[in-house]
Amino acid sequence: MDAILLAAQLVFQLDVLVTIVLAALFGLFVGSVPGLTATMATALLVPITFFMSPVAAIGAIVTCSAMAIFAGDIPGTLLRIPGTPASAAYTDEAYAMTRKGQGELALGANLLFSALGGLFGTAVLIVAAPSLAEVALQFSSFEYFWLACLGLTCATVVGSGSTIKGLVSLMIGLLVATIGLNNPAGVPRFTFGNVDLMGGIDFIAAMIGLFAVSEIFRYVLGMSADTSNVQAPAGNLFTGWGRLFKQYWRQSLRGNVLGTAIGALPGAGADIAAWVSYAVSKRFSKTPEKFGTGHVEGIIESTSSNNAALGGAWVPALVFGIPGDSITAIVIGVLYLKGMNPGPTIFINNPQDIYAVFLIFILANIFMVPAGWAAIKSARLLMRVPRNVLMPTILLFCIVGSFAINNSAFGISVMLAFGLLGFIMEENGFPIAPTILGIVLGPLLEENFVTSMIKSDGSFLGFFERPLAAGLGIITLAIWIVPLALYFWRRSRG
Amino acid sequence: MRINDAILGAVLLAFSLAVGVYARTFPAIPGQEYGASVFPTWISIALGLCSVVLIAGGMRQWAETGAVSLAPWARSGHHLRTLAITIALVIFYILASTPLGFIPTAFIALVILFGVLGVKPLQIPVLAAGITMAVHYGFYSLLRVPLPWGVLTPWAW
Amino acid sequence: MKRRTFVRTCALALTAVGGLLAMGQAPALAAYPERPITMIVPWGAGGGTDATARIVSSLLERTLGQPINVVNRTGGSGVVGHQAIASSAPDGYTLGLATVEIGMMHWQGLTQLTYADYTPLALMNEDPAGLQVAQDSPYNSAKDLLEAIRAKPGTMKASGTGQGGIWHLALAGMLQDADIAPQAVAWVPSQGAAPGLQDLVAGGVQIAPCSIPEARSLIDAGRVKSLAIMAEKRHPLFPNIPTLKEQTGIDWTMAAWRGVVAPKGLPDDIAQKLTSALKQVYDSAEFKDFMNQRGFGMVYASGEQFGTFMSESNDSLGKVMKAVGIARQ
Repeated sequence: MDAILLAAQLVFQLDVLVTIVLAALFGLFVGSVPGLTATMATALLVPITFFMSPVAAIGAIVTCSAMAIFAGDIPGTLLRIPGTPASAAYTDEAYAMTRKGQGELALGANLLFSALGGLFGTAVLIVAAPSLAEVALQFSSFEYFWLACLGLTCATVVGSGSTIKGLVSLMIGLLVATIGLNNPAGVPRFTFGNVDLMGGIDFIAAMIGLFAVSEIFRYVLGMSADTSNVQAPAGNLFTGWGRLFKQYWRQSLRGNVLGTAIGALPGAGADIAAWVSYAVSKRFSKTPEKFGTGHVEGIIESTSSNNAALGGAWVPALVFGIPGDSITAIVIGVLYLKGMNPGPTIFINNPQDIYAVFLIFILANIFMVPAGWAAIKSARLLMRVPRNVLMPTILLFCIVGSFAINNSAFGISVMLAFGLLGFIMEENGFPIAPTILGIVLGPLLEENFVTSMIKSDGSFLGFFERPLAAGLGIITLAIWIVPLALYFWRRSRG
Repeated sequence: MRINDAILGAVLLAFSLAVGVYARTFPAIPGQEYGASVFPTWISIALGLCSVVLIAGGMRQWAETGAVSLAPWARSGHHLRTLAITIALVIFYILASTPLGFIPTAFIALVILFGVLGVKPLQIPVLAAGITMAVHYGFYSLLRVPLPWGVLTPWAW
Repeated sequence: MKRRTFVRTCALALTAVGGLLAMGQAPALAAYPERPITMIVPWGAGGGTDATARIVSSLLERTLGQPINVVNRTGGSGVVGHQAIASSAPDGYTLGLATVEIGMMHWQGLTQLTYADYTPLALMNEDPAGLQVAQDSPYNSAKDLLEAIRAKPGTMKASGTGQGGIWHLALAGMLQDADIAPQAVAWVPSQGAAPGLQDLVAGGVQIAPCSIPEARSLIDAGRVKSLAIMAEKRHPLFPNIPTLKEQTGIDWTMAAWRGVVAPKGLPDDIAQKLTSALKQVYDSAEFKDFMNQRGFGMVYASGEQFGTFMSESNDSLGKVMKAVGIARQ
């Protein structure tokens, strides 16, 4: 109990609170600009944290990353341009709501369920961190391989329209992921001697191209719907919340649990959590046919999930110093720097520091509501800007964002190429979301397959030897085979 | 502009064949039974199979849709020109931003694009300058993205 | 009508740019540095190299009185970033943090770049490889482990970096010096030390020959034990871990290093100014505190010495890589 009081004293200091507010604003800005990710926001904070107290430093990072993940939903919803990769899974759905004039409803739902997701992730972190980390640490390449396979299944669920075109889109993504040097063999593939290609195709630049630039192309061709005048009157953002929560608390809870679990696994973070949750939501929905037409159900589940994943990622980071995602990879460095060395002993030696971190998590997610509300209100103003001014400005943001990923013009070339690809694909009924999923999951799939085969000396049985792997493998195969079997069974009978 | 699936399928099939053949050239790694070529090969096979299905489906619809059904914009010279200018401006930025610097390049690109999209002429330079400087401030000064200075290097801040 | 105004605006803009271009031709170099400096890091934000670059930059900023922007140019196992450093203008406004990989990539045929493409400024850090096993591993010394490998080659696996990466080399070279075939332990490629260590704890691999600071949190958590350090001397921060030579008599050392470089052809006066500023940074209390906090090893060599160091590192890496078959034949 003393430790909690001490922690409260550490947190409720003027400098800490001011830092949190500033970090929140910074996170909102970075998250809502396409191309700037929550990871980048955190990295930018690191040199500043050198000069802060430990609690203020951690507070800044926690707040900033939570805000950035939420803020990524804003441009995604209003302009079909996801601000961070974690929003890409449900960008189309949210934008469809905007086209129906329900943009504010979508954003309000994003805000509420992001904050709830964040709080849930925090609660798990407080209650179960050590034991959950123990489980996460048992995952080896065999288990990750099956998880990646499960992730691929999402592609066929997420994309609307023809299944075969969804698969083609996924294969394009997987193929793009093989470009470069970053493969288990360490061999340059499809680089044609180009140094930039050796670094591979960055999926953020690709995402900006596929979503944002292709949308700009559609606009200049006079094909884009003008959504500036159809928005329902602002009204009170909070009034619909009670109804939404009552109707969708199950989805929210499922998203929270799944998001926290995926976040806690080292190597999978908020991006993957959002995809998986969206697919799960559609799979188990009573009205899957509404998905893709501007239906809030899937948005709620995946937006809950990506914010819950943030808390989950801290589980292995705090307990074992193993990063749960790219943000906590940076956090671990900062923890060492501030003398809060991660490890099981952190809960015993300096409990007040850990409780302070928890308190900040809670504060940040509560503060998200007013800050997010203000952001949504000001984003409305953005929608009143004439399109012929807004679209060129967004193009400039996209260009600078693609440049900022690796600080080179190569990112802009990638963006342009994928803009054209995305435009052609959508014109011909190929969904673009599976391509992104392919780029994200491709390396995970290949690495874990190759390393598993080395470990099992080339035997496929290795994928079923460990109990955890066997369980995941059977689930995956069942998900793949059962629908096919049912299909053929029905056909043979009728 | 909708192209018949059979044509797209044929293009994809050729592409996947090229990928599969090229992947054969990747070197083997001692100690790795499943080397660099395995994944690209598998993907190319899967993509090839998908394209065959696409071709089959496209052939069935050929009678109704024909090879290509043109969207309205594809017949509008104005729209096509706008698209070409937009793409050209991105390429211009890629090529010119390093020697010329961010501020002049972005300004020129915005002026041209605003002009093409029919923003009122008097507003164009003001808007272009304002947005360029705002983006520069946000990314260069706040986020420390190293936007190139180009010809303005002697005056860099 | 509208069209004509538009064309005129464009013409106006182009004239303005032309004027700027003309003005740009008159550089009057006052005392270096008179504008912000860029520090290129070939590795991602959040890693050890990035952290080192950021602390060096923030301290160098104070000494030189100009802002220094840290720029991550990642990908291609460091090739992209090292290339970016080498191909920028040698005017002192672009520096970079080179890493040990500069002496490895060209042997693998990934690039033409070598240490000779840079102006060496200062070596700042060196982290020797350690020999880590899981806490519940039956082996309690490097000697036991080596004997077990010798007795049953091909049964153990190791991880901690990509195929042909620095820790792969550390292990292969050690085996070779112990007269064991380098292929006796299969290498499982990973995206860095953290996933490799996780696999060690999960039981996927038996050895993780990464540096000790990378394994530190798991050592502290009682999940991993370090059997030896592949260095001449014990590490001052981890005095309980014996050297490989103490235990086995094998005189094999391997370390990852990081140092500040500039593109080749940097003018001497600028190089000197930077070297002395970097020396100040290295000697500062802040830098020492930071490196100790993170557990990073501190080694210094400036200018010429650093050049010689890189050249020696390059030759010895090449020799090992050829011997263990990682270099391109």
